[in-house]
Amino acid sequence: MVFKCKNCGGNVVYNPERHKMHCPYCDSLESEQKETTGESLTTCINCGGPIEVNEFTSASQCPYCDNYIIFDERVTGEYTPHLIIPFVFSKERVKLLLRDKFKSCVFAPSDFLSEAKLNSMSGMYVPFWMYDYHVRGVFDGQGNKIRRWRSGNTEYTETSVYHIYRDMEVDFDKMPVDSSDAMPDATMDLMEPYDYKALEAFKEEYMSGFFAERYNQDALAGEPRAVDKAKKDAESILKQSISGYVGVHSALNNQVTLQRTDTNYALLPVWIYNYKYKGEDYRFHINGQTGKIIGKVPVAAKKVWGYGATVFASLFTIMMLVRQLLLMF
Amino acid sequence: MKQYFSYFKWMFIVLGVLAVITGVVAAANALTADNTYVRGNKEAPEQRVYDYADVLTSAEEKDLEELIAKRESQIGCDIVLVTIDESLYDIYGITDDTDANWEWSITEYAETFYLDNNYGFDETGTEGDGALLLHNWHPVEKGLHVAHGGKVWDHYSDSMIADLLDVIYDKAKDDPYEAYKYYVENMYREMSGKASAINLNPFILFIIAVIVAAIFIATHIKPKEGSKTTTSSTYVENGSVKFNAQRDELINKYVTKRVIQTSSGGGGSSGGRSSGGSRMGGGSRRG
Repeated sequence: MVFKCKNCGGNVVYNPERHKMHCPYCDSLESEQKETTGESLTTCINCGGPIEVNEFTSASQCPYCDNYIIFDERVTGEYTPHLIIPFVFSKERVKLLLRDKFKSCVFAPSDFLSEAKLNSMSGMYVPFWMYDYHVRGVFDGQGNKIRRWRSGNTEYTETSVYHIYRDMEVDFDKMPVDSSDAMPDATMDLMEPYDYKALEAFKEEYMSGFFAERYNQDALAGEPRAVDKAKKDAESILKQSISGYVGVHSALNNQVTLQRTDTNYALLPVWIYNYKYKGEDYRFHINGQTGKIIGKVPVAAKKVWGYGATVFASLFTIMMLVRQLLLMF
Repeated sequence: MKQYFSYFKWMFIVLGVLAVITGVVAAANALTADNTYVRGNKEAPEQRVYDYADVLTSAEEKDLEELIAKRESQIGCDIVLVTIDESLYDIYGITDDTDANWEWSITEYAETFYLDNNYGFDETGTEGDGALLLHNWHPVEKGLHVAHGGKVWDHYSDSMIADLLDVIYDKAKDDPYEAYKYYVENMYREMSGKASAINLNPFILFIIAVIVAAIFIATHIKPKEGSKTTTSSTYVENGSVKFNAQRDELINKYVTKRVIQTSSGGGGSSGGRSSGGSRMGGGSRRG
C-alpha cells in the first residue's frame, strides 16, 4: 500500500513533530488516501519500478519515485502487529541530538556530522516481541551480621548467623526482545527502555515515511532472551530484599520459576545512521521515541595527532611567552 | 580546517595577543637604556674565577668570567669563585678535626680572600656588595662556604644560603662547571628580583605542555557508546512485587577477641650551628 495525498497526489508520510499525516509536497494535513491496487513485492505500487526487498521487509522506499511503500501481506494476518510506538523524533531533531551529543568528540572525522552524511539516516520500525510473566522467586540461605567493639586493648567481634528465607512473586509487563536478525541484540537491549505509555494499537499510517520489518522469528524462538532478562531482574529484586548481611550464601535450593501470561507483537521506532570510515562501518542506533543514542564514534588518527600537537605547541608557546614577559619586567 | 580553527580560536587569540605584548615590551626594552650599574670600587682585580683545585677547563673558566662580568653589571654585586684543594688546618695550625674548627677555617679563608683582594662592587670591605663561593676539594676538609657582604648579605637569609649550597654541592659531584654557573645565576636571580620568572624552567614548562596535551587526547578520545538505562524494576508491573514469606532467623552467635598491638613512637631533635667571630655574612656545607 501507499498513502497518497487527496489534494496533490504526493506521497503522504507520518510527521512525528505534528503527530499527524502530512503531505510534504502540498503541506496538507490528514489528506491521505490508502492505495492498494497492483501491490507486489517486486515492483513499486506507485511507479512500477523494480524494487528489492528481503524476506522480512514490511515497509520500504522506492529508489525511483521515493514513495514509501508498505507491503500489505506483511502487516496483515499473522503479521499484524498488536502494538506500535510511533516515531517522536523527526530526522531533523535526531540530527540536532547527534550533533549535540558528539560535539565534544573532536577526533571524529570532519564529515561525521555533516548534513550530507546525516541525511542518509533512515527511520525503521523494528519488530519486537513483548512477553508478560508471572515470576516466583525463592531464596533459602544464610548470612552474617557483624558487630565490633573495643574494650581496653582488646577488640571483640560478634558474629550473628541468620537463616534467611524469601518467597516472592512479581509480574513483569511487556519484557521486550527484538525479532530482527539485522539488529544486533546487545544494541537493541541498550535502546531500552521505551515509554510504554505511548503504546498504541497498530495503525499502518504510522509506517508511511519509514522502513520496517515483520518479525523474523516467532514468539517462541525469541523467548529465551526474555526469560533470561526476567530471571535476572527477579533475582536482583530478591537480592535487594536481603540487606544488612555479609557473606550471604545459599546452600539450599533456590529457584526462580516463571510463567508466560501474555505475548504481544509490537513495532518500535529506531533511527539508523550508517557511517563508513576507512572501510569500517560505524552504525548508530537512536531510539525514535526517547532519543537515546547507541554507537561508537570513529577516531581519525590524523586529528588526534594534529589537535594534540596544537594543544602542546600553543600551551608551551603561551607559557614561554609569559615567562619571557616576566623576565622583561 | 574550518573546524580546526574554530575549535582553537581562543587559544590562537591568546597566543597572538601574548606574542604582540611580548614583542612590544621587548622593543620598548631594547629602545630604553639597559639598567646597568656603574662600578664604584676600582681597587679589586678583574679576575673573578680562581680555580686552584683545577676542576674547570680553561674554556669553562673563560665562560664563567664572561658570565660573571655580564651579571655583575646587571645586579651591581661582585661574584667571586675560588676552588682549592688543600688543608686549611695546616694553614691555620689546627690539630683537632671538629665541625667548629672546620667551619671556622673555611670561613676565615673565604673572608680573607674576599677582603684582601678588595672585592665589593661599590666599595671595599665588609660593607661592599658582593659574594664569594669557596669550594675546598680536599679529601678530608672538603666543603663549601659562601661569604657575602653589603646588599647580598641583606638579601640572603641563612636558609637561602643553605639551600644554595645544597644545590651546588649536588651539582658539583657530576659537573663543577654547571654547579658554579648555577651559583652565578642564583646570585643574578635573587639580586635582580627575577627569581620567580626564571624559576619557570623551560623543561618543566615543556613537560607541563606534554602532560596537558596527553590529558586532552585521553579525555577526548573516549568513544561514547551508550550505557544500560534499565533497572531490575523497569518492567515490573506497578505494585506487583509480593513477598509470601520473608524470614530472618538467628541461628547462631559467637564472639571472637583480638589483642591490639600498640607501638610507641620516638622523636628526634635537630639543632642549628652558629659560628662566632666571622667578619662577613655567610654559610658553609661540609662534605
